[in-house]
Amino acid sequence: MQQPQPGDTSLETAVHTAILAGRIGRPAAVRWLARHTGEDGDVHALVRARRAVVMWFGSEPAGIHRVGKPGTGHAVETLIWSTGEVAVVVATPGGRFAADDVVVIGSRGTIYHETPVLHTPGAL
Amino acid sequence: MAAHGVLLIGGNRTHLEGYARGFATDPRCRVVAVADESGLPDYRSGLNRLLASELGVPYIDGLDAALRRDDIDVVCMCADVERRGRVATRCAEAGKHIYLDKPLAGSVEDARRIADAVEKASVLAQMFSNINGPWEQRARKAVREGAVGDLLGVHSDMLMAKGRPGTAPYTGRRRKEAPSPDRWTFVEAKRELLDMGVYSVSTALWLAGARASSVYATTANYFFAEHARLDIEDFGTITMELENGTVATATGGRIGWTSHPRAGLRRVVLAGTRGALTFTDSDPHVKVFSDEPPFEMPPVHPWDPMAMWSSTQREVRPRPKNQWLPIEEFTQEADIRAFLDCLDRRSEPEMNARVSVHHIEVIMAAYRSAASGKPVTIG
Repeated sequence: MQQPQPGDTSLETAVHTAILAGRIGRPAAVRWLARHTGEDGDVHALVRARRAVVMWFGSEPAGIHRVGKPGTGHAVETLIWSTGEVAVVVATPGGRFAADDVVVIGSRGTIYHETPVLHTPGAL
Repeated sequence: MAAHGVLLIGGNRTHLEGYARGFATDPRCRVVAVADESGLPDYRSGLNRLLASELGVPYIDGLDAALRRDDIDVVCMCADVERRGRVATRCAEAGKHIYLDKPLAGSVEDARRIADAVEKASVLAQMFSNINGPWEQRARKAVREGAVGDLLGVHSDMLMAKGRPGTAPYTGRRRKEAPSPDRWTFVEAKRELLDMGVYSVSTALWLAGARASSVYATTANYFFAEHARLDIEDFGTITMELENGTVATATGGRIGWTSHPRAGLRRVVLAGTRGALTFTDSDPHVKVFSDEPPFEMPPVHPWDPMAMWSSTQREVRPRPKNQWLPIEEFTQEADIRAFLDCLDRRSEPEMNARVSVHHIEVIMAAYRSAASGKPVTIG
């Protein structure tokens, strides 16, 4: 399993550190809402999320189910593992902001991350 | 003189524990009696009689006599899920308006039966949901005002922070789901894709304003030995393609006391062409940090290890989680008031029986999808 590297300050690493420390038990499910900006933002967001959950679960998914209307920037991937884990990743236009809302559910606890910008309609 | 005489069907260790008090405290209502079908197991009839005793009303064993009463025009129906089709239909046929516990029923056939009976009898019926809560009302306002632009997706979560997690055995493989489960009532746990998933499915479809045409789902047993012993899921995901081209996702599950600073992740995200907005039952809130003793998981009640009922939790006395204090709370009373307002105005509830049928269609298709590993089309 890939280990966090010194100086790596990403969301992915922060979550991975907590997982490796056993703080949430066995990671089981991920809910990731990625607000993206820019051309092909949905593609980049889905790729980034997929790399992260592979790191967190320690293996590649056995299957991916994808839905979403092409050209809208809104897509949903459900990634499933043969060992039982699941990740539901939503990529969607973020308006002015790119932001991630991530929930990592483990057998004994949960990690939450929200980019703290978007709780009121006026933010858009 | 109260306008409505209310019959309660069910008893303790059902949502009637809360609904009953919600009706009792509304000045428009008078709780007349508790009743249920005759011939029930002692366990269930005993809990029904206990609720009647707590409320100071008679218990009527058998529905015929209760439903014939002229002083009853409303029924609050919390029969076991497997019996709801039969019981709710009898209530409608007797001309009574019905406040329905969720989920509507344990099969599409039973759900349709209820809706057909309600419509034939021209009575009003409403299924309990979160749509009358302040956060869901704000979400609906945002949809109507076009706050996210054109709606592309609605994503809803209902993950309950109860139960002692970490006891489910790890199998190292995907759960083998049953394509057509037919048992829903257990003492120590529930099938959470139905029990919790109905909240997030009903929220997502209500906000999207469309029906689902296709469903892809997963189920799992991640947290609890109780669910594992019964071979039922404690967590599930559903992805829906809707008839209007939008996409919705829903999660439903019970993930343990230690998984959230409040009652659990209850959330909806509206995703549109202008951006995305998040609404939760915990927001807005204040955070309080002090030298108060921290939250500890309460003792496990032997008859309610998942902490589903207030009556059992009173016995184990869990310390409340106090660090997040919502500024406004959703209560069951708000949903009951909305139902009573519909009775007063003689207007159709938004979450009526027919609308609720589709939630059961979605969730039953979700079980088939989880069993097969493939998307399922809804006719």
